[in-house]
Amino acid sequence: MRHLTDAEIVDAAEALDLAPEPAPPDRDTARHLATCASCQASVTRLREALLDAAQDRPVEPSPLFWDHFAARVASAIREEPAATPRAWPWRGRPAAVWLVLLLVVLGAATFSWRATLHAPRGGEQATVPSAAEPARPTPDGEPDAAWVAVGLAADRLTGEDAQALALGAAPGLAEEVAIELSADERDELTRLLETELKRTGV
Amino acid sequence: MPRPAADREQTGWRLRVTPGADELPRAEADDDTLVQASRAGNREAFDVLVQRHQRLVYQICYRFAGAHEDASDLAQDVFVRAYRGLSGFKGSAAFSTWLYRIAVNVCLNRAAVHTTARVPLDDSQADVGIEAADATLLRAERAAEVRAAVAQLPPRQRATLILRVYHELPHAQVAAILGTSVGTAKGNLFHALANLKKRLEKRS
Repeated sequence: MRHLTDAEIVDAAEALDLAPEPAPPDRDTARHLATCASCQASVTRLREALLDAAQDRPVEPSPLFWDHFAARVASAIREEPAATPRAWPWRGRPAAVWLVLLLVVLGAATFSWRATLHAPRGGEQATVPSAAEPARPTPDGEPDAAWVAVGLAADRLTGEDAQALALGAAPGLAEEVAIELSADERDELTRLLETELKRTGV
Repeated sequence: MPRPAADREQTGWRLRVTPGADELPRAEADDDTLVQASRAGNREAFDVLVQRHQRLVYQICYRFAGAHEDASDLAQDVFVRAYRGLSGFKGSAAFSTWLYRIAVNVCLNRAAVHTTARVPLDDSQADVGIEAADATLLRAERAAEVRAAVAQLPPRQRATLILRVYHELPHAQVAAILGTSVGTAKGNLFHALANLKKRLEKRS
């Protein structure tokens, strides 16, 4: 026999008119409760706890307090700089911008990894290509797409852009950006990173 | 309990005229409009938001702090943080949900520093008769026991219980404020109530 889950027990306890918007227990829950002493006891116990909790009624300050409080907050707010949009234009942009940036960085990482694999022996230095330079062919003779992408990105990226896009080395910047992402954006970033790491085998 | 944004839209008093930085906000403007005006530099618009939500924010803070002075300081901190963070408010949730999330975070952070909640007794009943005074005292003592037991709950259980039982927020909104699923919010409430019961039994 499957006992009720914690959530089902909460629903059943709240269904006894103790909570706002009580939802009646569904038929399966009611049928189970009719035969299961253990779940009945859990529901009763939770119901008693709800009644206990309700004994501590909310404290209502004097009506005069609210005007005083609003004035206090207004005064504190006026000491703050105006809540105008952020000065840094790159902040608060949609996740797509960050994902493009991520792909550029991953492309650079991939290129760097491939360059290490195919580096010519004898101390030759690899150079970052410019857009004018032809794409470096891969060993099978095809142009390297990652090389082209990195070359184009690097060619068009000014120092100021790089700083604005957080490619600079300001301490804590990456953490700040990560904190600003929503949960969904963070999940997507994690997924992309994992996919890219698997793909490149880094 | 404040009506959810969806209800307000249905009842038709939603007003979509955004006051500019210099224009006085209207008290009946909806939260989104006032947020936009606040972002545009209209501080009076934020004053209206404060007046609209101060009671619930204060009550949340009071439940965590257990004392009027601390609660009003915390509530002020909540609004100042909300004002600073307005540009980061994306509007994916209702403004009230976002604001209560800030309130819970401020209170939980504060609770991490001050773990003991003070339990004030209401002295406004001093002139009533002795029997009534006894009953009042008993009620106040019981309420104080409950408050102390709630104060000892683990932070997320405590937050869930406060939002659901005392603020009567729907499970979905509690979950949104705490950044969790409805199932987890219900699970937290289950454990909060079970722990509350245990603690109250130990005391009596």
